[in-house]
Amino acid sequence: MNFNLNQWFSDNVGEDTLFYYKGSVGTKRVTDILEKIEAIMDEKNFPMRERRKIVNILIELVQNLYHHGEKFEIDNDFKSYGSIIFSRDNEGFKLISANFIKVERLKIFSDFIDHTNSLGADELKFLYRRVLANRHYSEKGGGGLGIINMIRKSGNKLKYYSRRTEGDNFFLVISVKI
Amino acid sequence: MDTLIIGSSPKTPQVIFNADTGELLLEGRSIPENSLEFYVPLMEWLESYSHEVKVETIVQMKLEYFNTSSSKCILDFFRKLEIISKRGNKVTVNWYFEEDDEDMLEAGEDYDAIVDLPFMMVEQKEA
Repeated sequence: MNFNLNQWFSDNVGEDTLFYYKGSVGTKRVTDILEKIEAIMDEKNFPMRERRKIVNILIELVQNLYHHGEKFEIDNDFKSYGSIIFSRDNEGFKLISANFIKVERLKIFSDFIDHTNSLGADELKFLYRRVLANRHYSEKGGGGLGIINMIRKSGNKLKYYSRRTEGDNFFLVISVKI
Repeated sequence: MDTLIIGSSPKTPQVIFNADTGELLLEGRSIPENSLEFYVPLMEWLESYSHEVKVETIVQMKLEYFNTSSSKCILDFFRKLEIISKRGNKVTVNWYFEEDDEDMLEAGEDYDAIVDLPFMMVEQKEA
């Protein structure tokens, strides 16, 4: 069955959804998404501890879309494409991000998540410090610091899956429980 | 030398670097998409400052949030201060965190473990 973006979206947005966005993610949109989710948390009086964790993880996810979101080759309406869904259920909060990714990056990305998910708290701390102290620098990528950060700060493993599309890019979905 | 003053924005912190008092303040959010662009003037100021340090340097890090690319720039900032310290100048970093913000405390401890500078962890009560 072919990948259907609209179907994926309607399957993942439900009664528990507090905020969602789909479309191009430029610098202005990054600010808008952060402001809107913070306004929702203000309005609903979220505890400060959860609020900080949500914002920290949201920044990583949204800026990842900004830096790495590839275009949806089947629909040329968007120059790049990203999606964010913020939900709350009985178990807590969940942030989902989704974007298109080139197949060569997908393998590197999924291997790194698998490895990082397997680490305990002390190993994560050690890895974070080692990657941070590494002098190689890229404005777009921090050598996996964002992934390590999200696992450390959420206290949960990152869940992810990918779907093949009709184009060359894959559709990658990352889900973080907080 | 001139004091470096940069006002805060939704994604960048307030900066006040005063060479006369030796107090270097970063306060607020550091989450720009292009962190290098923001931090270059700070590093340039610090380079000039490093040649004319007259008093003890006290860094006041009062960050609310910072993103991954800022974390690398902040490390470069501390490494430059480490060089200043190794030339015999006294440098102290006051790392502020809200009372229940263990993530910000941990972030300070991460830098403390990487750079050879004295870090003071300063807990702040929420307003």
